Amino acid sequence: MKRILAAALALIMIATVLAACSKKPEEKAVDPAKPAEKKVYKINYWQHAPWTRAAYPGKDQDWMVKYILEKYGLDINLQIAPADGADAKLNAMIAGGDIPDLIQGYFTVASTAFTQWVQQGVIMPVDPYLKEFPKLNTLLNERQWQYLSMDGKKWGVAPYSDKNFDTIWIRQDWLDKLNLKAPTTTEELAKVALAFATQDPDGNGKPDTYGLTSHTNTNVLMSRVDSFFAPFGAMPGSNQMYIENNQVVFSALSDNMKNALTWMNGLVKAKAIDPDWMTNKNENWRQSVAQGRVGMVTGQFQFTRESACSDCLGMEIKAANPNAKWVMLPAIKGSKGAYSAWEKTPVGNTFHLTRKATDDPEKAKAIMKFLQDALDDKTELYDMLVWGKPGEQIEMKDGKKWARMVLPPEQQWLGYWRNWRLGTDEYWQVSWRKETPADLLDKYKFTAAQPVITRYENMLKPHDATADMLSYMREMHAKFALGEEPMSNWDKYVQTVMTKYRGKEIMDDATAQLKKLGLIK
Amino acid sequence: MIISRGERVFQWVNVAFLVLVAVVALFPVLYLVSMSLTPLEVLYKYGGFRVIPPQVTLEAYKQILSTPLIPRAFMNSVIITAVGTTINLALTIITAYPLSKRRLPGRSVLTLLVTFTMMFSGGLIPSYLLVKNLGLRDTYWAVILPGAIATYNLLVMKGFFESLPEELNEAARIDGASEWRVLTSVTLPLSKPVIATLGLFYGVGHWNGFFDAMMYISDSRLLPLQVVLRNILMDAMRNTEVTPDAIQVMPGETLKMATVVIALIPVLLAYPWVQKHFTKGVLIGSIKG
Amino acid sequence: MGIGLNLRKYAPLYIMLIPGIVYYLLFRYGPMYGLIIAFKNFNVFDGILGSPWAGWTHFEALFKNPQFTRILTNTVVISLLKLVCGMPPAIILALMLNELRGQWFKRIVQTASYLPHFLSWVMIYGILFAFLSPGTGLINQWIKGFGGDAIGFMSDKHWFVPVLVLSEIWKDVGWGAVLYLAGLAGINPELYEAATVDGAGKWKQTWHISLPGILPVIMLVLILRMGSVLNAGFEQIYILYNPNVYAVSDIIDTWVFRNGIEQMKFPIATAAGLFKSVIGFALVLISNKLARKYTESGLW
Repeated sequence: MKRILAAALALIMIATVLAACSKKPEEKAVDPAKPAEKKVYKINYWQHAPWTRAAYPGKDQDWMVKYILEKYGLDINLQIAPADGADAKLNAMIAGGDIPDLIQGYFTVASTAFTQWVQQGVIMPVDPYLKEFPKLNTLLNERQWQYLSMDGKKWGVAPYSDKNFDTIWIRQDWLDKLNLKAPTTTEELAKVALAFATQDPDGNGKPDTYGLTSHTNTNVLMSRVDSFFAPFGAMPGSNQMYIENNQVVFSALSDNMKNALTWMNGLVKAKAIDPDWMTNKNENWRQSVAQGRVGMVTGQFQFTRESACSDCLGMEIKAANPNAKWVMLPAIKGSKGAYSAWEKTPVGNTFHLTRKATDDPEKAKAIMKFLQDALDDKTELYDMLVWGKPGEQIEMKDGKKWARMVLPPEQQWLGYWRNWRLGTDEYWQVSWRKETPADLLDKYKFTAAQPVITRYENMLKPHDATADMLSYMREMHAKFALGEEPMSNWDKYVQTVMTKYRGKEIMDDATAQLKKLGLIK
Repeated sequence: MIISRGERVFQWVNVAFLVLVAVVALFPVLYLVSMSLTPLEVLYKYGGFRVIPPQVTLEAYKQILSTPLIPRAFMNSVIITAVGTTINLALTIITAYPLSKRRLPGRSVLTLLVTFTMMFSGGLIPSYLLVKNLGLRDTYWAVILPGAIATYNLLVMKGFFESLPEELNEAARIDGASEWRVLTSVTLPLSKPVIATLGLFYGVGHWNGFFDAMMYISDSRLLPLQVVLRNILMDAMRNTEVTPDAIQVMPGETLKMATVVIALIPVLLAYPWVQKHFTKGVLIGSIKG
Repeated sequence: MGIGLNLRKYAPLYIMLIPGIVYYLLFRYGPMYGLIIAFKNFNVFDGILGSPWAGWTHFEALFKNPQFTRILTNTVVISLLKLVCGMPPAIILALMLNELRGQWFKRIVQTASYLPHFLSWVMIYGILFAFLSPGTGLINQWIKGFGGDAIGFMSDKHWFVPVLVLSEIWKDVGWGAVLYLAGLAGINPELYEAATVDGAGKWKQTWHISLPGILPVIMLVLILRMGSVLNAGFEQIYILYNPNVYAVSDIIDTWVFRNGIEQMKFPIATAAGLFKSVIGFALVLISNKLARKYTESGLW
């Protein structure tokens, strides 16, 4: 026994030595060969929603860091949020005094983190810097800036996000087989869904096909069905807010929702919806779709692209069902109008300057200068960040830029630097590799041209009681859709939301905010 | 030894039942393993559910093992597990032993105070501050020290020590042995099953540990295996509005399953070794005389 | 004089306790001041100690929310079901494994039985989906083959809780048995031999030797599980649930996640945690007393 304890002690000593050796070597001092006038600022850049999860080779191997250091005097320490527990970690860091200088994420005014940070003085207004760096101001128009504004000030910068990606994709071969025309209204949509479910469009004699499917997600009732419900002006399980007759409308309580749920209930009863819709997760959904279990989905313009992105199912479709012919449909007409989707939050990923950065005004200016160039597609910085090194990741061909190919695994860390991209058409043309089918850009233009419904809840400060209200709405919508709750109880449901779940309070608060923003008189 | 017929029937029934248990437990795991070996195209085509894959590929394993970070992460996990478990056991033993002595004054109070910490915890922020102020961030110690004693395990060990007959200790004490001597020469040799079990608990805890490393280690060269594996698994694009561009290679099902299998293998190997120490009859002959 | 003698006598034991005490003071009791976040409007710049008091606000948010009764009930029901249905199988499995003669076979079975413990619920969801989903699940396909209607095991509120409990048993029974096996290994085999000589059969031996032998372990596990009766298994439920089964499976932790953690409103999480801790600790105290009274084995 003594020997074992002695061995343990030895192990402990070895471990101590190892641990000491594994401590990071002291940060290298600033490159002494720098010209004396250019001051270098060390900044911590926290990516809360990184665009990749590739292995980061470390600061020393990161040539982008060196480039930025050389040109902008910023010594950037990239802090990548963990895949799991990002919020907890960031919160603990901030509370513990380790506030990053620059935070990237998707923090608009509708996020509680944003409002908390503003209230607690964690992030700072960027208005003073917009004067010196006016190009940043032009990234968004006045309405879009609202998404980053609170109390009359702007609390971050962001590029404009892309236009609409979503529309309905339908199995043309099934339509052909059953001699149907593509649906244009919600009634026709229901008929086609029913036909897909009952008339055996894949001809295998088994009742294994459906009109639609979906998958659930922790915060919504249904995913990938937006284009079916946008025409109704209501999306089961969600509460989009819009303005009608100068009043705030909660779509979840409106007659539009009643119509939408009745429609859905009809499909459920007729067994036109895949019964797995409620238990599917993303992977199951992908498989369902690829294997030809359903005939219609809401998909992005990249739906049939054979690439490994989250909305590209091309590879699965090719492997499982290469004869499937998927085509896009223009916006379907419903009781609210012809819409293909809900308006996306027009603001892309957001960048926030923190108190740590502004404590040193020169540092903050240096960061803003860097941001201005990074978000400007005419600069060399932008080219480096978003496209990479000429010859390595990108090449010039006939005076045009071409992204060389899908990045090999050891270069995928460059994704950490690409989130300054601007969603311009030129971006789409360049970013796709040579193997991308030529019509992809046309597909994007098609979806971008579809009408979308304007919504407002994503530009309002959240209310305390919202989470409870939303979860109750979700639960009730599920019940109405499945028929477990009769539609005759609709008014009772509305009443409950307005009173017990403080819906009236939330609505009044939203109205007040919209008045302040000048969107309601 | 003559086995009665009743005994034999019992043995067969027992075996049959346990085989069933093993199959029920194992079948889904085998399914995952088989998925990890199936090429993506085949997976899409058949949607899983073939326990024996029609085609086998080692692509996923190759991809994971060639990720630059993996061998490093593996080493990190090995070191953390070895060092951590040793410290865990040492600390747990020397803390449980005194608490198991019924006549120690203040024993009940101390046990109560220790149990209290199982239910009450100050939360993430003070712990983060503590680790930061102790300068433990970006070291192995940030992962090893905060969990140095798991109260549950401590109570288990204490309970086990308490169940050992007093006479043995008395005999040793009368011979003039110090408490330390009693612990090492008498108590520990009899405690092999519980030490092995707790070694397994602590070891597995370290091997699968993720949260502490995620919070306190930012240097990617120090990350343990689970954190790296999770980063590979996690879908970076939770928000489909985010990256319309396909820089991110979505981990296919095959890859996901392979990461699970890789993390499981050491665990598989650990138990048989542990079980060696579950030998019965530890107490035979110790009280005679 | 008496105390002095005692201290000297017990000095070596106290010295042994020092590292442990240091650990607990530093890493467990040290950070406990964080509990007051539950009573404060935590502000990053004032820090934990300087932030303004909020009194019972966060607790009110928890207790007065329209779903409170439901989440509390669900939490207790699910937790107790898991306890009552989960402990006996682990004990029985240990007893059966203990009877195996072949060492090699025993190791295989035991390793197999505890492997599911290492799978994450995300992985297990895939397996459950493959078996239980209404459209494509294997079991439902069999049911439909026999002419029945598909059952939404995971979307129907009558089936969801059984699925939760059974899948957890599947996941943890092997791992749970490890501790009991260790306990069984510590029982003097001479007791069994004597019993066999006396003509006692397997049942009698189990009832009179094995079970009493591991009774301290069982009591320990039971008491400590009472301490976490308000933890009904957040990760599992969060991964498995959907709006249609909120009614039976929304627990305190899932509510706190939606209203607190996801919103970065951590004080609510701290308040809920404190609530759970207080109740849990009270239950531990009570069950320890009861255990001492009726079985003479308790924690202290």
